[in-house]
Amino acid sequence: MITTTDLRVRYGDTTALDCLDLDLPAGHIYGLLGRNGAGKTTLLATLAGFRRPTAGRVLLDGEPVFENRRATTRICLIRDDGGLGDGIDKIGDVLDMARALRPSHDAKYAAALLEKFGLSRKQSLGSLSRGRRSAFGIVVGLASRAPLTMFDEAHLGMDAPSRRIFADELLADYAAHPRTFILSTHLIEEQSPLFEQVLILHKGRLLLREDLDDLRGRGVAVTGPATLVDDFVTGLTVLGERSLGPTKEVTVYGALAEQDLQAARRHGLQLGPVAVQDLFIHLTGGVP
Amino acid sequence: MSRWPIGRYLLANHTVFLTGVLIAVYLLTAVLVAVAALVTDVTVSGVDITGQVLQWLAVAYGYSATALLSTVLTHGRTRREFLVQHPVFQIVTAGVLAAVVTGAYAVEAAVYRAAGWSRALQDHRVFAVDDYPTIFLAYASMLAIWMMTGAFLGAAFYRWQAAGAAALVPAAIVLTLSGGANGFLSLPFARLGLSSPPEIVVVTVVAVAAGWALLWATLRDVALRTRVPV
Repeated sequence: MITTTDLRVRYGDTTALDCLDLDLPAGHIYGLLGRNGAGKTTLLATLAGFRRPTAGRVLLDGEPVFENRRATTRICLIRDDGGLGDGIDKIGDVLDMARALRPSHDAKYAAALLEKFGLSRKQSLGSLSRGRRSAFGIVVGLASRAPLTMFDEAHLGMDAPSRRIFADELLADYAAHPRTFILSTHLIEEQSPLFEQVLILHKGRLLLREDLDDLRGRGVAVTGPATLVDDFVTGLTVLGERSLGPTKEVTVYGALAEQDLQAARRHGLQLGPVAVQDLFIHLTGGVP
Repeated sequence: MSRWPIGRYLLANHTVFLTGVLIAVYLLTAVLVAVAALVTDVTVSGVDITGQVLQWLAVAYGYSATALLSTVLTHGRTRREFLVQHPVFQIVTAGVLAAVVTGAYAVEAAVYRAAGWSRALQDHRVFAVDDYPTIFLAYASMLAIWMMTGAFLGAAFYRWQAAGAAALVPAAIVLTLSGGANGFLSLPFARLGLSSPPEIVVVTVVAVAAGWALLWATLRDVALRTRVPV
């Protein structure tokens, strides 16, 4: 379990994290969402011991994290900038270093992942495109088999097939080797199916923590003929809408009353789960 | 998992690499001396001239240590482990490289003798051309001090960015004072008459310890830089 108590991080006059209390039980996949500047990267860096908190504590299974190798060797944070070496370093050298330094690193799994992402041990980091460099970060992170593995926008620049490989591998390896994952992302719709629980940071504070299914239950997507849908959602909080010819889908916030559900059925309107991204935008202040 | 994983990794990889680079540098030096011999008389030691470059290579290599810290932390190790194991690796590597340099002087002596060439050294060297123990000591001193100072400078610029330039002052003091002893960057005002082997050892220990302490103070709680995603 990773626990933070009254966690605060400040950069000069700027408060990045403010009085953050978290306890995340082990063995789950958490999605960490937040707008730019919400404090996601700072939180992950602090959880990994990359940064000392200004105040408060971070514990992994009761052990302080900062400068404590009993904790840090069980944590892996892959950031969007990689942080895995210089441009002249070869992929093979970085993996050899990972094997030397991290007790849980699985070299065979790393080799298998390299093949899946079409990477070679002989390639230098500097020769890789942005997306392939991100894919290599994914390889290092998954092969770390660290009990707490975190990815901070680690998929940046990766094409859709590579992101699919990432999602499939993460779920497969999570099933085979249960551990805790925290995924920070702005690709909310694409990655939210991976999450068991969603954490939303806003202005350095925890705005919401909820199981994915419960979060989706906070709203409803109403689909049907445009005029009927417009009439139906009158008076409700609309999060977003899309039209395709005469058909319209409107996302509304809040659970529907029984008479609303009956009215929807009577008019042949389809009700479905709400897009997490729409909820996220609404909960964090909407679109100006 | 072995003890001292960072140090072991660096010794098995970086020390071997640096030794190979140094040998390549001396092979290149030999080629240049041979070419020069075709057009002029050889009167100076090529190995000794190359020694002027090594100190700058040492400080540049030391400067890169902080980039390595980022990688080490990403793989789950701590600053404290790095700050203990990396300096020890640097000191051991300085010894290994100094042995290669000493060997290069010895090989050069045989070649020059066979060719009938003379071997003048650079000014202010603290060793004679055939004083191999002192050659080893002077180079080991220089390499250890310059790598450590480079590591401190790299750490200072990483932590304080432009304000890290303030670290140039203590770095310059360490390098000039130690240079008066080991003969590298030997400036007139810094020659304190401490150039006997025991004195070189003492100066080296003090300078390396000072550099280590500065490095420790700079990196012991440094935050890994966060590049804010755009």
